[in-house]
Amino acid sequence: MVAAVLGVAAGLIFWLWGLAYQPLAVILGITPGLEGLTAGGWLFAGVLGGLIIRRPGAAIFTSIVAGVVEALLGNAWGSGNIIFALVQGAGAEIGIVLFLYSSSRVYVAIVAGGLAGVANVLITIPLYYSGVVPLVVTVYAVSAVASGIVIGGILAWILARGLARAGALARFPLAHER
Amino acid sequence: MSVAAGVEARGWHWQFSGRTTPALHDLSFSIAPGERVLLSGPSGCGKSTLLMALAGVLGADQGVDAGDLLINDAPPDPGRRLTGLVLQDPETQVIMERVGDDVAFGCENFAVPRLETWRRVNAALASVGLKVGLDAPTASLSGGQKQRLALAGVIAFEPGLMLLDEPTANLDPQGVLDVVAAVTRVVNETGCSLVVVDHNPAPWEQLLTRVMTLDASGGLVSETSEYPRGKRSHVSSPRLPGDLVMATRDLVIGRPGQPPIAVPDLDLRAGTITALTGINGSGKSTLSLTLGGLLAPQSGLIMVGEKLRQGLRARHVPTPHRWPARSLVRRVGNVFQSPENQFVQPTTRAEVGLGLRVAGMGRADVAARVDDRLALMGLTELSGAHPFTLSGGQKRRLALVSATVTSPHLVVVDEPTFGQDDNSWEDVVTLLEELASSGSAVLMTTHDPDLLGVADSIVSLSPREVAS
Amino acid sequence: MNPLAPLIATSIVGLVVLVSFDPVSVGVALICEAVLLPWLRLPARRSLQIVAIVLISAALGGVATALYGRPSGVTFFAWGPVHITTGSLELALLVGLRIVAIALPGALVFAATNITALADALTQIAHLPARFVAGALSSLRMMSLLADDWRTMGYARRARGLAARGPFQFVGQSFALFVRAVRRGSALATTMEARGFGSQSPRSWSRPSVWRARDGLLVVAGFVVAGLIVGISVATGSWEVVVFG
Repeated sequence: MVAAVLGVAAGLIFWLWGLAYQPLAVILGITPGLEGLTAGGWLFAGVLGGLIIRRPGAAIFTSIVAGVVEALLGNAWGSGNIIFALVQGAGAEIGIVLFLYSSSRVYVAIVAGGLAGVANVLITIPLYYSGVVPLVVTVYAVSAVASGIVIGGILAWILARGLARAGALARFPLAHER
Repeated sequence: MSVAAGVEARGWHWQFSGRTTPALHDLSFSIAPGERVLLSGPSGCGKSTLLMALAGVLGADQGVDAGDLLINDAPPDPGRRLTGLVLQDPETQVIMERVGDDVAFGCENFAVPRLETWRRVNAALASVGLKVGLDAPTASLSGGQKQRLALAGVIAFEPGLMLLDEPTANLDPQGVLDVVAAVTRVVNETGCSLVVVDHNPAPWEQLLTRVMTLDASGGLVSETSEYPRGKRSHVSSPRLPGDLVMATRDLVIGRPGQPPIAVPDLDLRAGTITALTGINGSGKSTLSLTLGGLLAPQSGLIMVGEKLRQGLRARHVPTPHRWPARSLVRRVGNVFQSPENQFVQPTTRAEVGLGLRVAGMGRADVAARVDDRLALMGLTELSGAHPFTLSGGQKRRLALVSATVTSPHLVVVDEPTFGQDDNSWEDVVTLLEELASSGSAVLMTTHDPDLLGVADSIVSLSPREVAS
Repeated sequence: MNPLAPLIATSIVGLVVLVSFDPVSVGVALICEAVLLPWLRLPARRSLQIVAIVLISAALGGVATALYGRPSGVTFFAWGPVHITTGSLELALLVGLRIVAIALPGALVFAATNITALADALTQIAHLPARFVAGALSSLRMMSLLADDWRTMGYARRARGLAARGPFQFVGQSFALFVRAVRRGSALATTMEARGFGSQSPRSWSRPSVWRARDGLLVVAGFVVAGLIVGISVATGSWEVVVFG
């Protein structure tokens, strides 16, 4: 339930991020693949949900709800947006599974964010970058994974710690860890 | 029809995980089927916790219990369909998008057959007097309607014990009357047992048959034969009205995308408290934002007095929403209805000092002033705590004191006494009066009849849309 | 019409176009979509909005491909990694149209979907766990509340003397929004639990979600369109599968 509401809040942030992204995308769109740097803004939801709830499926679920909310608020992608969210949430979920749901430390967030970035690459390349030279594909992939690690991973971790410190997560294991 | 349920507690304790003392201890009492109980006690004594426990929604992941707490001779469990719970915040009581679906939700969870579900949905909506149609969007309901909707959602699955936790705290006076009338009708129709927690117990007096009191440590339920009366009479010291701080003429306000609202002309003088009343949706909050320099007016004049205008650029003066943030914070103190929406710092101390730092005060002076203000509001012990971790009353006091720390000439407060117990109420009123006595003009929106007694003048907003 | 049917049908078509990478399959997909999508009867204004955003997105993909696409044919302009050639321009057109063909159906169908009906279908027809679906559905109601919170927090930052805009504002305000979200989510969870939600016992459904023959037909139609796309493309000898880079 909390995962779902986290997802709703994340979806709002996605949407605001999407608004901010439009002008940025016009600039980054003409660079060779650096657009990937903005990808992390859509990757943190799954990592956040996974870090806080730490149960199987939490990352995917949070990411999907965020995707649905963003679609409802009126971005162009509709059900396609939810597929993006599903794949990226699965990336984050794999990262958290690797640590058997036992830890919310920063390296877990980095791995989960990075894998969410990989998932983003796997779906973005065939959609957007299927006609470009390998160099650009590589640049996009590297920048998207980096963005996943920094924005999707580390920032999500900072957010989760902050929530714990603000006393919002009393029911979850994260609040009782040092 | 439901069968009333009874409660039996024998030496029951509850301790939240991570706390060193129990929230509730040594509770022994019984409630016979059909009894109607007011549960009273000071803020933070564990009344809500006890209601949650009775409703069976205190999970093992949240703490540990000891002793016995039994409803009809078995531990509480929402799956037994014996209890119905209604909470304070109308917004978190609504589950579905349409009214009918929302009421049906509980029946679905208890596997009530489809035709029977819809029969009960209609009956429940009739019982609480909500005549809006099954397809009406829940988002369009007022606070009082939402609370009656929550009540309908609970009685539809026919519980034997109704638990109400501050069900009227966020409502305007009409909403309070509607909810109390609905509960009265439901209890009389079904004969169910009832436990009510409410900071304002007066409207429930006719309905309730018994008063149980918890002490501050969450123990010792005592029986009180006398029904509690509010102690909210406040003796004000006389104040002298001073110069005009702000005045409006022919002002029309409105949020982007919503219909414009015309407001009566206002004169806000130094050393006075002006109360702004009106039903929910009459534009009180919008007017607060406009006069507080946060929202552009649609048309009309905002006149700014001599003190406020000092140091401002002439072209900015008539448009408070264009004042630089640093200038605004020195001149106007804005206090929002939900304190959590206005906290921007990681500790209580930093939160109070922010306005002074922004205004450019030296470090030592800031520290001295902050210490003084924290002490005034009884928050000294909590100076290192994260603002979000404070209790509801503490949050409200922190919001007030941090927004007014710069001694602004104008103070705009939205519903300062929502959900406050008597002690906290007194602190809030004392601070507002102190601000006025020291020369601020105070404008407050409120539904609270006791607080209106503190005001020097009362302005009533009625929803008057402007013909466009 | 069951809301799942058009979502499934458009997903099948989208997937096939995503896998293929040649002008004929994109062309066939766009023609089929142009014929079928008007049946959704979406309000014109909303449709135009969606079409506009999809076109912007497609244009961005096209521009990137025009600049960095695999070069071939006549070179018009070359500077560092940028090579604009006849080949890259052709690819750019293909990539742009392909994005439209993939994204537009899903976007339009989703805009026409009633979320409550979709949730009913997901639990009753697709048999997803009610816990998750109902949880997500009720949380969506928090959307407008949180949007209000966001606006109020913006006012509050100015009232407290902080700059109204900037990256720090965005991060700080996002944090506060999440605190509100978790608080509200916990309270909503309590409300739902107190009404018997989440217990192990069986559930009933007050709104039946039915799957009729015509829903099945629509999904079949999705497969037919997918088959047409691949079939015509293979028959004309232009069928190509997308390659990474």
